[in-house]
Amino acid sequence: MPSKNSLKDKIKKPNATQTFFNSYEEKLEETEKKQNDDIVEEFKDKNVVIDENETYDNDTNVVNDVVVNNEDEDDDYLRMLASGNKVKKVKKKKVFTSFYMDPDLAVEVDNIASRGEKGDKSKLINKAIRNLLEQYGVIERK
Amino acid sequence: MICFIILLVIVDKYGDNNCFINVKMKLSISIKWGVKMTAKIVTFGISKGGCSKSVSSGVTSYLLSKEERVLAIDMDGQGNLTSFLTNEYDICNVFEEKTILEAIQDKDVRKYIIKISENLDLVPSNDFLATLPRMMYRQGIKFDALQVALEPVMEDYDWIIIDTPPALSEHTVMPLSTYSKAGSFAVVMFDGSMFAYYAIPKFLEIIEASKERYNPSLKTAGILFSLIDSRAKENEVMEESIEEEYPGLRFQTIIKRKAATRRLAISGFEENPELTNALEYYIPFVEELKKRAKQEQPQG
Repeated sequence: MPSKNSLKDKIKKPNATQTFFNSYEEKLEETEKKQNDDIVEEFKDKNVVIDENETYDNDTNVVNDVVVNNEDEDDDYLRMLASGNKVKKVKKKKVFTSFYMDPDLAVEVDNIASRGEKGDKSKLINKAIRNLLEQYGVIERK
Repeated sequence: MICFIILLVIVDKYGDNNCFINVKMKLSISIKWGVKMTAKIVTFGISKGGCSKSVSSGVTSYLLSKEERVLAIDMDGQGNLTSFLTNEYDICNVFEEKTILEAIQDKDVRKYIIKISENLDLVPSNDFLATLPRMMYRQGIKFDALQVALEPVMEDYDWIIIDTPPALSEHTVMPLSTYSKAGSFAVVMFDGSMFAYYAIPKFLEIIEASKERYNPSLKTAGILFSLIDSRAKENEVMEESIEEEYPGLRFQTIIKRKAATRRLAISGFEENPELTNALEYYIPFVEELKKRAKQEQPQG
């Protein structure tokens, strides 16, 4: 008579189909992690610190940030989803760059970002620079 | 819109002409549902060999192409569908680097389409398709790769018929993961044997997993009996069991294998004196398949 635990293990044990599909998800995660690790290493070699939560995009050779879609994009996405269409949530591409910051600003930015979510630091910097460049008339107001 | 109205007036004027009626029907459907005519995808599969997947997908492609535009795709490295439709058996040399493998790699199937007859095209395969999983791994290709490759031709065809190998593999999962807004369907082949009987739930599980993860529109069109021996006494029990376990899923048509159908691989379809005999069981099956695909087509 099999024990209760061995029966549970048997039930929990994934079958071939699940294992096949899971292997692809694991493989994808591994590939993405490896690419991220490679890019982190590459930037570390150049004495550049990057946020390890950012992901590397193979197509564009840039480090992508996680972008929170604005309301209109979310609306379009949900409408497509509701109408039964297969939809892919498109992440906005971001270009990885680096620069030196004044220590007091860096501390403040880090403090703000630590209260938010992944990608908030980039959002804050983008917003600040965008506002300044709009004010200078370098770029058009959105 | 004005053009549509003018066209509909013309169609009405010549309404007794079958061709115009057909045009009118298609136009009114397009206007009503606001969708362009795109190809329905039908994948034939089962994780057991010798269940008539290649012959059934080949004959189905041929019969559908009598009235509609069909693209047949061979996703089995054995290349039986390729040989069946082209009558070419030296597939490794003749179709070298001209197969579905290269189409997937190029992300565009157009260069690899072969014309079989007026309404029937084929993307062939050969033994090199065995390298697909390795290629996917190396190049980071995902299960939507066939969908990407087919995108440029989705509106050129009414049907895309895909043959798969008898295995849980990338070659099987990729077609099942291929989305079409006109509908994606799987036909489960069954030869009446115990091996195939036990392969059915496994294949249904692959369909479910593909649907859940990659292609929410995927539907099981049905289980098609293609009996090796139509006189075997266990056939009736098998039919009852399938009906009981998968109610309503079985196609009413049963393909009873015969030599004339087998000889299609030798004689081909053109000027074949026994063609009517060879296609006897497939004609009602294709009608059934059309009905099921039409019923399950997403409305808008």
